[in-house]
Formats: sequence, structure tokens, C-alpha cells
Amino acid sequence: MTRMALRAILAMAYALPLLAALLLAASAGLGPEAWRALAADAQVPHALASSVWVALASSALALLITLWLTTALHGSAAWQRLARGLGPMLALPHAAFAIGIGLLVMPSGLVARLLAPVVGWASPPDWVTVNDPWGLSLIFVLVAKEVPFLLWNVFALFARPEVAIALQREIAVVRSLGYGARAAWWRVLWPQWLPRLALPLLAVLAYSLTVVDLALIIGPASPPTLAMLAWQWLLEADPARNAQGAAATLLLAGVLALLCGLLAVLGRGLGEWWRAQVRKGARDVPRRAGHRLAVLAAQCLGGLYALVLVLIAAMSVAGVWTFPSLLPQVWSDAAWRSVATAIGSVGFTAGLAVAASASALLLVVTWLEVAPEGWDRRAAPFVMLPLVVPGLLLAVGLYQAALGLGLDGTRLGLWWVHTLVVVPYVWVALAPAWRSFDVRLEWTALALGRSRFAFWWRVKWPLLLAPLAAAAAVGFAVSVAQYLPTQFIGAGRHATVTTEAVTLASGGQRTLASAFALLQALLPLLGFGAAHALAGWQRRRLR
Amino acid sequence: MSLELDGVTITLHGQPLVQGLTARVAPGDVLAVMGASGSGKSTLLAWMCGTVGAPFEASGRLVLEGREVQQLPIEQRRVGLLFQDDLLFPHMTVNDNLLFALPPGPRAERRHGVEAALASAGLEGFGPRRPASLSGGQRARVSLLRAVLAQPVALLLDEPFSRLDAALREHFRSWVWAQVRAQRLPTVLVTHDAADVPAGAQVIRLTGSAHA
Repeated sequence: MTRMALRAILAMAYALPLLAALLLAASAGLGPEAWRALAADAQVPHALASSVWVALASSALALLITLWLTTALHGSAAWQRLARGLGPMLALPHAAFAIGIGLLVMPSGLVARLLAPVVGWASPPDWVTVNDPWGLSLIFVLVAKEVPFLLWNVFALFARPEVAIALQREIAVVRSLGYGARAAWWRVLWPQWLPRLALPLLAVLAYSLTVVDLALIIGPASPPTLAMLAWQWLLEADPARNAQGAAATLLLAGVLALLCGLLAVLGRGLGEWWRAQVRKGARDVPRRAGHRLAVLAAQCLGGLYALVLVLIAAMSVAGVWTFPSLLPQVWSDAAWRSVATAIGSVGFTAGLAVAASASALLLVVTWLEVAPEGWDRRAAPFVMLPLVVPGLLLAVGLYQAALGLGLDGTRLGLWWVHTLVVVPYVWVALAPAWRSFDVRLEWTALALGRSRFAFWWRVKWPLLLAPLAAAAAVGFAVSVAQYLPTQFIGAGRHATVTTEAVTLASGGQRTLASAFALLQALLPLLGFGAAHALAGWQRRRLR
Repeated sequence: MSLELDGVTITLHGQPLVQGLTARVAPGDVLAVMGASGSGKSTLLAWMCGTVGAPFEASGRLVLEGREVQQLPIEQRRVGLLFQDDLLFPHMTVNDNLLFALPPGPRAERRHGVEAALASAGLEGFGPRRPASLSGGQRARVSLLRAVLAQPVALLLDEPFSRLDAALREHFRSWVWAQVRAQRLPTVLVTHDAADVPAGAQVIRLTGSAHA
């Protein structure tokens, strides 16, 4: 009975606030006045078109690149190298990455400086690369960030023993019929396995349609995307404007649902057409060059992330840096001295992240211990909710909930909201290790007459130390990178390195923004480094 | 000490795997349950451990030392388990594994108990080592020592010899049966290999659903 009670408490602690938040978000945005104001706003049609364009273009490109890299590299040494590189790429927060890309492509950025001697520029070119009206920089950032995420999902799917075996056999069978490996992928494997990537794809689409922090840093400016407009309205003092913002958020959620429906229909039609092509049985011409090009592309992706880190590090200590010099003329620690005066925000970021990660870990571990494995499938839609619902919608709802509970602007409120947002990631990181734990070890320990708690404390948790530490580090990183919930539920009263970096970057203060971006990137890396060290220590101990 | 099975029936989706099994195992005696894989022999053992759940359904009584235990959770049944893997806790030393099993008591007494057990198995001085640094045969012996140190009232063995190579297997088998007799433990052995069964053991053959 206590188990049933615990399960109920856990479900209430996690699912209830989320569902309540979605209902509150809907009710906040349903006023007819707000929709009339929205319809009358001349910026909205263009902003909505811009949002949809950015979302579709970036998601489609990210998907195509992911499929292409997988097809060309799977099973090769480069594929393994790519797998190892994904962790650090995923760990780099979106905002820090966008700030770094800005430093790369802006008129006085690295690309222009490299081109200057060739083209003969003495001053920065007058191109509009950051905040460009077509949102190309935003699309670029989204694609470069989403490709590692999708690849990571592909790796996770293909790492399952039953999938790995099926994959190998199918490739062998198709090749024995006279097709090349590429044809095996496109004609047999992707049509089978792509539906299994629907959830991550939905997450990518939802994210790119409603992203605010990246758009503030590098997205189109006039008009901005609809998510940016909604965000501006939500932050205004006028309640009518707030309602208009909530309505815009709801509109985006509706558009997301519509896009999903359209894409599902389109996907089915494409699948039908593609099956007809496959039935023709035409054999493909093997191409070696594709592999080399894909290796190069994977290396470029990794190189881009390294370059971004170097750029924000260099910019954070740049004093005078005239065009077209490749290095600053005068180095300066001014930015870091201002960071030192704002050291409280660094401590607050880390403290909040530790607290949120710890409470999420407690929730997830308790769930995994008291709920039978068969329940995971039923729980999954709720667990994954924060990943596929537009972040802005969730933030609006959670803010309403926090307001009702008197938690808006408080540390407690921030801790609560961060915990809710962190839970899905901790779950994804922890559940496989938990569910594959040898149950006979539990039987053995219990048969020795020891309590379940003694078994957990002395045997299971110590043995699962590495995945526990990894999950804690993931939770920490996710909490550090939160912008919308931090700014919104915190009512702008609690600065973290992420809110500082985004605010400074959108205000054009590149040096200081770079310093905070570097901190934003380093904090998660510290967490992952600690988890990695713990796992290594554990491995040596078990040898 | 004795172990009694009384009218044990286990069904899977309405199909009986074990039907009306009744047997009595005296202290130091062995009941060998034989059958091919899928015959339900491991399910029977799991039922005796208390680890069988849906979709299996079971009825009947398991009596250990005159105490009906089939409703008790595994940690209150006082059965010693041995699987084909040693299942030593890999992060603990041999000593810690054994101390984990030993009931609470004065510190010096527990230390001494562990040392005596190791000596009895020819494993003096292995206490501070980790399981990974032991040979397969040594780990198997520690595994049985651990089960016995928890002072069980019966032993349940699930193919405990099948992972050992041929030379070790013979040696370990005779050592296990010597322990069973010395500790006077009623023992149930599940195996598909007739060579595992000691002389004088009762033998039951399960044939799965056809058994009915």
C-alpha cells in the first residue's frame, strides 16, 4: 500500500503541476480581447510566417543532415568518433553557442576578418548576418545544435541490442540482393526506423518554432519571430498586453499541432511514393566520395563547436580589436572584473542547478524503485511532456501556477520549476541503467535476509554510481541553460549566467556577454567532468 | 530442518507448468528438479524464492522448518540462493560481501566468522580482495559461503555449475554437496545436466505444459 501511495504522490508532484500549467496557459490566452488585439497587430502575420519558416527550414535541414551523416558513416571508425564527440557538443548551452556563432558571422566577425585580405576590405562589410531578416543565422544555429541532438537519438536507438542485430542483418540481406549500403539505408532501414525518431523530431520542431533566447541573440529583428513578440508582450506591465502574449503563445502551440498533422500527412504521401520507387528494384551506383564528404562534414561540425568556444574565450578578454586584425591589439580583463562583481549570479546558478538536479534525481529514482517497469510506457507521455510542448507555453502556464501559489519571483518557485523541467532529461539518462540492472542481485541480497533499503544503499546505488552521476550532471547542465522559466518565474529578480548572457548579447554587449557565455559553457562541463571522473574511479574500483 | 512442497501448481496463461507437486526434502538431502529449458523448473525455483509474479499463477504450500513461507517476502524466507553466475557484489571486497550476509553481532565475532568461513573453503587471506581479482572457482565458493553465512534454513540452486569449466565443475560440485551435508541444509537443485545430481538425491522431471 505504501508503494501505491508513493506512486500516487510522485505522479501528483510531477504530472499534476504540468497539466495544471498547460490548462492555465490555455485559459490565460483564450480571452477574446487578446485575440482581437492579436489579429489587429500588423506585425503578427509576418512574424508568424518568419517563425514557421525558421522552424520548418531548420528542422528539415537538421533531419536531412542527420540522415545523411548516419547513412554515410554508420559502422565506420568516423561514426565511433562522432559518437564520442556528441557529449561535449550537447553539453554546450544553446545561448553560448549562439553568441559564439554571432562572433563568427557578424560584419566584424572572424569570417569577415579572414576574407578581408583576400577581398581587400579595410572596414567591416555592410552585410546583415546577425539578426538578418530571413533568420538565416538563427536557422544555422538551430541546425548546428539540433544535428547532435538528433544524432544522439539515432545512437541511442541503434545501441539497443535488438535494434543493432536487426540492423546488421538487414543491411547484409539487402546488400546480398545486389544493392549498395546507401540503398539499404534509404530503401529499407530509414522507412522502418524513422518513425521511431518521431518524438525527438517533434521536440526539435517545437523548440525551433517557439525558441526565444536564441532568437533574442541572433534571430530576425524587424519584425522578430512570433515567439519573440509574445515574449515582449508577456514581459510588459499592461495585463492586456500580457493576455495578447499568452494568446500568441497559444497560437504558436496551435500552429505546431497543425504542422505536425500536415507533416504526418505529407510523410505518409512521401512514404507511398517512395515505396513505389523502391518497388522498381533499380540498383544504385556505389559512391565512395560520399563517405569522405560526410567525414569532413562531421569534422567541420566538431570544429565549429571548438571554434565557438575559442571565439567566446578570446572575445571575453578582448580590449581593442580593430578590423581586420585576427587577434585583439589590446587584451583586457575588464569583462572578467565585472563578472567578479556579479559572482553572486554564478553561485546562484550553480546552487539552483544543484538543488534542481538533486530533487529531480530523487523523484526519478523513487519512481524507478516503486513503479514496475511496465508502467514506464504509460508514464512516458507525461515524462516527455516538457520536451515536446513549446517551452514558451509551459513557461506561461508555470508562471500562472507560481502566481497562484505565491511562488513567483521566489527562489522556491525557481527551484520547483527547474525541477519539473529537469526531470525528463534525468529520466532519459537514468532509466536504461535502472531497468537493465540484474534483478538476481536484488534477490540474492534479500535472500541473505537484508532489507530492501540495505540492498539499495549498499549494493544497487553504489553499483549504479556512474549513471547516477551522469544523470545528475545532465540535470545540472539543463538547469544552468534554462532561460525562459528562470527569467519568467523568477520575475527577472534572480540573475543566472544564462539570463545575463542572453540579456547582454541581445543588448549588443559582446565582451561581457562572451564572458558570461563562457561561464555558461564551463559550468555544465565541470559537472560532466566530475561525473566522468567518478565513473572512472568506479571502473578502476570494480576491476 | 526440512523443506516441504505441498500440492504446488504453477500455471502460465492457464497452462499448467507444474501440477500438484508434493515432495519432502530432509536436512542435508537434495531434491533435483530436471527438465529442458522452458519446462518450468526455473519458475518453480523462483516461486520458492518468492520472485514469481504475473503472468504466472501459483498455488500450494512451501514449508521450511515447519513454517509456511509461500506468502512471505523473499527477505523473510531465509533461503540461500545460488545462480549460474556468482552474483558477488562487484564493488565490495570478499570480506564485505560475506559481512553483508552475516547477521549482526559483536564485531570480533563477525570478523572471526568470516575468516573461519574463508579458511574452510581454502580461501585464507582472500578477504580484502575484490571479486574481479578471483578465479571463477574461487568466486563460486565465496558465493556459496555468503549464502550459508546468512544462516538459511534451505538452499536453492539454479544451475550453479553450468558456467564453470569441466575440471572446476567436478571439484566445486563435490565441495557444495559436502557443505550441504555438513550444514544439514535441505537443498533444491535445478539443472538440465544429469551429472550435476549427487548420489542419493530425489529426482523430479518437469516437461512443461505436457507434464499435466
